[in-house]
Amino acid sequence: MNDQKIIQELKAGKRQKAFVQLYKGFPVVKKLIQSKGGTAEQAEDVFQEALIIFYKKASMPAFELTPSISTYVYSVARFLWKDELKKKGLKYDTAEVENLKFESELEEIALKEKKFQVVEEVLNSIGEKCLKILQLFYYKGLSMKKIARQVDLKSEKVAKNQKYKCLERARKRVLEIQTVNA
Amino acid sequence: MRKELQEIEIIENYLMGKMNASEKADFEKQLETDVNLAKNMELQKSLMTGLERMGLKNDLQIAKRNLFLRKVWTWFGVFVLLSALSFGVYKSYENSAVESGVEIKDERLKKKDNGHVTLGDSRSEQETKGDNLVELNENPTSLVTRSDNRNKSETNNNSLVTHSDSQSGQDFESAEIPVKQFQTYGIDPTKPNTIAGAEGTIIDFPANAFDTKSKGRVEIKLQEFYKLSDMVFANLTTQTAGGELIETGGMVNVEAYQGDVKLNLAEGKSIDLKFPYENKKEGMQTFRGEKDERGNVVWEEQMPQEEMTEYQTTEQISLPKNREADSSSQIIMLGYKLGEEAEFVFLKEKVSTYLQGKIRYPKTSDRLPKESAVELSIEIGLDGKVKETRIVRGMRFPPNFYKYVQKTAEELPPLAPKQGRGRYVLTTFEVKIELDPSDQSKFLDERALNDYYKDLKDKRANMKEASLADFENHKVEKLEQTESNIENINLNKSKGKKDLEYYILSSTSLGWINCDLYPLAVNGKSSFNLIEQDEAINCSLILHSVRGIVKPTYIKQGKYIFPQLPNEEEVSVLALKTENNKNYVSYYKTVHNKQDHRFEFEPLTKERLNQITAELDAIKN
Repeated sequence: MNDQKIIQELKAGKRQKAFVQLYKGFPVVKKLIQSKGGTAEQAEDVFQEALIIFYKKASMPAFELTPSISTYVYSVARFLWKDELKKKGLKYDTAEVENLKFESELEEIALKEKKFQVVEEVLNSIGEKCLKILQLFYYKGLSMKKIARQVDLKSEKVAKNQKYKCLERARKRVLEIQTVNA
Repeated sequence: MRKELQEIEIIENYLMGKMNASEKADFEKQLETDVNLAKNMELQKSLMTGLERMGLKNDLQIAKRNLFLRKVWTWFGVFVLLSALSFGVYKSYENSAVESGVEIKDERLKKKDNGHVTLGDSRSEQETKGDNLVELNENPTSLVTRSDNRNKSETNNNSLVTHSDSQSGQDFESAEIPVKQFQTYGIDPTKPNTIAGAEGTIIDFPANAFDTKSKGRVEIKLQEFYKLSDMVFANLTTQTAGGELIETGGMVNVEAYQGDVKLNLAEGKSIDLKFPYENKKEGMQTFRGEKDERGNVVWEEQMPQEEMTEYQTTEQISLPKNREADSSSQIIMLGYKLGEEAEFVFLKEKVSTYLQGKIRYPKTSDRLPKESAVELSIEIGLDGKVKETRIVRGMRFPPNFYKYVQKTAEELPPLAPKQGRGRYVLTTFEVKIELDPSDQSKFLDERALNDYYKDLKDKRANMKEASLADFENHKVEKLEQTESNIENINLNKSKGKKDLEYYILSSTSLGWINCDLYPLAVNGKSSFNLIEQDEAINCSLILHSVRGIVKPTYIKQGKYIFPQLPNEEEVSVLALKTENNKNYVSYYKTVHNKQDHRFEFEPLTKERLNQITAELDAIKN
């Protein structure tokens, strides 16, 4: 499948189809990370992170594909791994120091993405039902009526209220962590 | 809707682009001036992004699986193609192959028919099982059972384990695994009742709480689990049905019987449970327990089902008889106009503000810390009037002061009770009243204080003093009382005079009830594996940083797998198995460092059991 088709599919909301295609790029990235001292598990994390960054970029209205998708994802993954090593005080052995023009843009994105590790941890800790309600609403975009049925709540109103309560719970926890870390 | 939730809704509308131009402009203007709002907006935005990221990651995992499956299918296709090609080549061998297949089948049938005769024949089949053969020969009866039940590998395995281990069985006096006893209480179901468990749980049953029309005595059976050793030996976990780790603040099992009939709570009724604690943890909520297919109790969060918008006052709001003049604004705050939206938590805040403004302190209280607080539990009847109040927690004020606080709370104007399944239910809630004893303007004058006390005395004069602290209105009768019960109740009583601290939860059904919260795993989670071929081991991991116990979610290929265990968590491994009527234990402490671990079994003697129990109960978290 060519790049244009993947992007078309993403825009048409056919995420699954596009993701399967994108995932074919994993072996190359895995090889790269492993050659730079990473494990297969770490390679997967980095690769998925790179795909998310690509996905977000692709869903922006002003998106224009300059290099090919595989080059883009590969560069992002390499950047992320470099960053990861730097964080641990290790050096990335760079024989190929090619300064990509989107490197500066990436730096900003990577910094932003790291912030979400805390958020994800919090979201994982607010309870299964809460997480389900929030995911169905914010990610899957289901109506509150459907969500109420799926999570076995009495009415749309109850589900809506529960949704806000769950968000409140998550919000409190993020603040909790922020104060602990501060 | 509560104002915090309303704010969340507004922010959501903004973030999801549901506002019209003027609303948006207004909101953005507000954002510029309101720092808190801006902060909350950022938080909510990052939560929304976080949810999107988690969803994407999940979808990526699915994509990965699909891609893998696709590859498998492709290879399968290649395989089928190759097979088809080679079919022709091997065709000449086909006949003989089929023939030998039939032969084998026949032999098996024969063995099945007369398993007890064909001892020699079956031996060849059992040779693969090497070790067991010796025992099998020693015990011909078991051999017969074995070959008869060839397909029921489970029963087989058990008998084999017993046999093969008889060799290693040592001669020692095996300790029994302790069983938690039920405490029994007899109550009159037509009246409100309070029972106090030996380990400090207090349960309030409203009048006519049970789904029975008969007025006969009801027997309440209670098991309490606060000690880690009690929990682990009773096969309790702190996991949800979905395998998520929760942290416990105590678990109870409450059952009610009328004669032989097991009762549950009537519709619309709920019980309040108080779980005592030493170190308070925020976020405790009610979880309901069910036994899973392996007999372990797993939990599910009890979600509130009430409609928040239906609170209304049932009576006209009347002015409380106050000694000081109340400003009218205070009263409006407390009441709700019919049809107006109000939420319970909102009401709680109002009540606490109201009481805070109203309560005066005795002069002697200036020695108290500057930020003192009294926590009060208030029960509202179906008529909206305060039915009962109880001090939950407080500083060292004189006892009379508490009575005065209670009295003040009892004079609250009618409040809207909660609704359950469309009806009003007895509502108990906890409010915290913050006091500033250094504020001289709030000192109570002697005369007013005396009036209160006198009033109080008259009111309570004809009430019998109950055996438990502060539960004057409830008759408590114990059918059975073990020695330890008495000891502990005395302890609670004396504790009640000082700081009595409880998590207060409510439950709409009986059975297994757990007071829990979802803990955070800061270092991430991964699976913890214990390796052992024997699949008949009952094992648990006891966590050290949070109060929790987990059981393996699945056992496969000789691995007991505990997924999603917080990384770097200090854990105690506790495994039990029984061989030849003797108990063996594997118990040690380790750290979850993503490496596989093994069991180390040893005889479970009484000394060892005591030692393990003491060590488990010494874990502080």
